[in-house]
Amino acid sequence: MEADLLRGNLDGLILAVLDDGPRHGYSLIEAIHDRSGGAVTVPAGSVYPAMRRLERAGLVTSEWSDHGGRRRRTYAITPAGREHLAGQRRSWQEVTRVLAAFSLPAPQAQS
Amino acid sequence: MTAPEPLAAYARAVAARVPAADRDDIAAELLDHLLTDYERHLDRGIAAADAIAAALACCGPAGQAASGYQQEERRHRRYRLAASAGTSALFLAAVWAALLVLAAPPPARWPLRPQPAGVAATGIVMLTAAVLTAATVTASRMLTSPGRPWTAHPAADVITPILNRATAVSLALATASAGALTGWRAVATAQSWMAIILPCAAAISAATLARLTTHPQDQPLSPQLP
Repeated sequence: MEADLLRGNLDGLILAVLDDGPRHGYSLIEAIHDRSGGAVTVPAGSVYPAMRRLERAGLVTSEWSDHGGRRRRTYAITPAGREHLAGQRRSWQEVTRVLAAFSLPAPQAQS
Repeated sequence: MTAPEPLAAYARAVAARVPAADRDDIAAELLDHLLTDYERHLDRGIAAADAIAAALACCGPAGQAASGYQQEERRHRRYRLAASAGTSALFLAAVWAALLVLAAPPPARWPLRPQPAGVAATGIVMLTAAVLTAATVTASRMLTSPGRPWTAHPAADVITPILNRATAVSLALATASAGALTGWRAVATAQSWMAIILPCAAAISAATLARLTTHPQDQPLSPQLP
């Protein structure tokens, strides 16, 4: 898949995965990979800073827990995050609808 | 489980490059990620050394991982840079005000008739401003690389305030030099060039800020071909 097609959609991908339930960073990266059918692998170096940005924007919350003796941060989507995701999904559906019109060759013009 | 030293060292290396207030949390979260990946590899029967290498490979070089966090700091950085430029401008304004008070120039009358000494003083300061502008542009170009604006450079936080202060101090020194060479009264009388200095300093700061804070908003993604 072309990287440019996904550029700028990382926040939406994260929110879409968190909409199914809270996750920690590693689990979130795995979920994006699985849900895309293995087409998208988001680097950890992009996901964690993005999570911090989303938390500052109030779109996700996080809490720390103890996991086998080490600290683990788990993220959950907020109501504002769900609202943002709804807008993002409408945008994706519109883009998909438009691009679908160009995904096949145009019908031959009747002579 | 005790973290293997290479993984802990990597987390520390990234944390050392991020703001101190976030350091512990970022290190802990990153270490948790690395250990989770490491454990997954071990579960698949991969040798410990290879599992460590694989876990580290997924995060890239420490500097690159840290730059992701630094990009997220850009909005806060913008305010810090603006504050830095603002203090420099205040310093220059104070120098100007002190000069006008101490030299007590005669009141300006229109049309202005610049004296040769005043023109020379103006030249000294303007030349200094030109050199500083060239240095600022050169520095920004040196620190900017394809796909990475100056804001993402680890040294941006350190260099920019230094550059702002150096600009203010250099212009103040240039003013002092002009005063010493051409006479304070002549310098203070040259109201026209004094009116040029502050806009120049502001323009330099604004250009620096614009260059520092203009870059793509998108986060990098690395999709793999299925």
